[in-house]
Amino acid sequence: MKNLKMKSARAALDLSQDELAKRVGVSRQTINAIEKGDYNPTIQLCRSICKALGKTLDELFWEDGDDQD
Amino acid sequence: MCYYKLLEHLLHTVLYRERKLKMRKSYAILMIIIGIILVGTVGLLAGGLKGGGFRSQHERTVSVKDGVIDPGQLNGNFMVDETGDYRLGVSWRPEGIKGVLSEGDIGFVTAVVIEDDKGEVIFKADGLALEINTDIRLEKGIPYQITHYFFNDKAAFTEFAKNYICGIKMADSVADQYSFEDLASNGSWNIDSKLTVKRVGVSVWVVTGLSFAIIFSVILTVILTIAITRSHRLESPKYDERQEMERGYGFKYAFFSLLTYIIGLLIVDAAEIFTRIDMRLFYAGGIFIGVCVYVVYCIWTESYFALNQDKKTVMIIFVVIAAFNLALGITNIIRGTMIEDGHFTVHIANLMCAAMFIVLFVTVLLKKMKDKKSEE
Repeated sequence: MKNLKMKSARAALDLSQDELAKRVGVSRQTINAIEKGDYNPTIQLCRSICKALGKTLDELFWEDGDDQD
Repeated sequence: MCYYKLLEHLLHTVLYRERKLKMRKSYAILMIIIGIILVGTVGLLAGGLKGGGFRSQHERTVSVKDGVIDPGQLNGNFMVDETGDYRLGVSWRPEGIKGVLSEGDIGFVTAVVIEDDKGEVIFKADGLALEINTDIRLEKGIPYQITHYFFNDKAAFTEFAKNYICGIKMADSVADQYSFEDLASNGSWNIDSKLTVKRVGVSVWVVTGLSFAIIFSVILTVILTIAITRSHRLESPKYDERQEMERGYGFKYAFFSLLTYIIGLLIVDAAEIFTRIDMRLFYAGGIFIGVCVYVVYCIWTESYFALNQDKKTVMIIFVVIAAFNLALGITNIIRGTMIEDGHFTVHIANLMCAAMFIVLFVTVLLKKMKDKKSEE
């Protein structure tokens, strides 16, 4: 399941995957995998991403049908 | 040389995860282990390059026509470049005749004699065919003469036995073990003749090589340990949670690949399918398969390189190790040590190792290309 919310939040801040990865402290491929839905991050990583993007967990990671692939 | 990478994985997974050891200690241990491996590698290389042995393989034709043997005898010479104990292997067998020979199979009895430069007999043996493996002491620089004599006449053989084999008292009984009257009176035999002289025990070259390697490794270890522990760039490799997970999968796949390989190896060994290949090669193959599966999987899932690791350095290490082993492999081919007695020897491991690092290097390149395409 693709995480389009995260992708759009990142795009809104004009951040590349690489820049977000550096802010969060993970590899670019990990951010890519989360956005593509290939990897389910732990709550700890979700929190780090939320902090980096200035969003809440609900805003980025709560499924509501809009981001269904 | 692939042990370096194995070691790296081992240390990363054990030492760094534990966090109990300080980084300086970890790197000091790493350097010491690398030093020990260097000792082994350089010593073995130095020793392996100079064996001090000799080998020859020829096909000879010996014919008997109306009781006359042609040729009457065959001579050869060999020298060793190091004094010491050697394993002498003499093989002399007519082609196409397996098992125990009887007098009707061949037209002559063969005796082999090795003499030193003073004409003193240092080894002798006789038989319808010869398969000898024995330890013998040889001196450096002496031209040893090996002579094959052929007999189809009892009186001539008895005379020979008196002089070379056992002295006057026993000569008759030695001659009596052959039924000369039953020997084939006419015919021609192609003989597969082999002579191998291999150094037994530790060669002086190995000792010299090891000594140099120890000195070199100690100096290198001390220098590297000081250099690294003083460096402020010391950081443990960091992997994010996805990378840690993928590395775990990598280990799992490598483990099952190795397990499958070992089961296959057991079957192959039991069925005696690849009898012409040195078993040590299969063991090396297991290491290569395990490492290859793990590293290729990790590279492909972007979990091989740590977040704070310089990829270029690792790539350079891959290329250097591949080139080094490739050069050694080519040297082995040129020197003819890759195949001995029709068997692949453990020297082919260098080519296998080179192939493995080339595969790893190509995987990194392919992954880079794939990433470039898939980048946002």
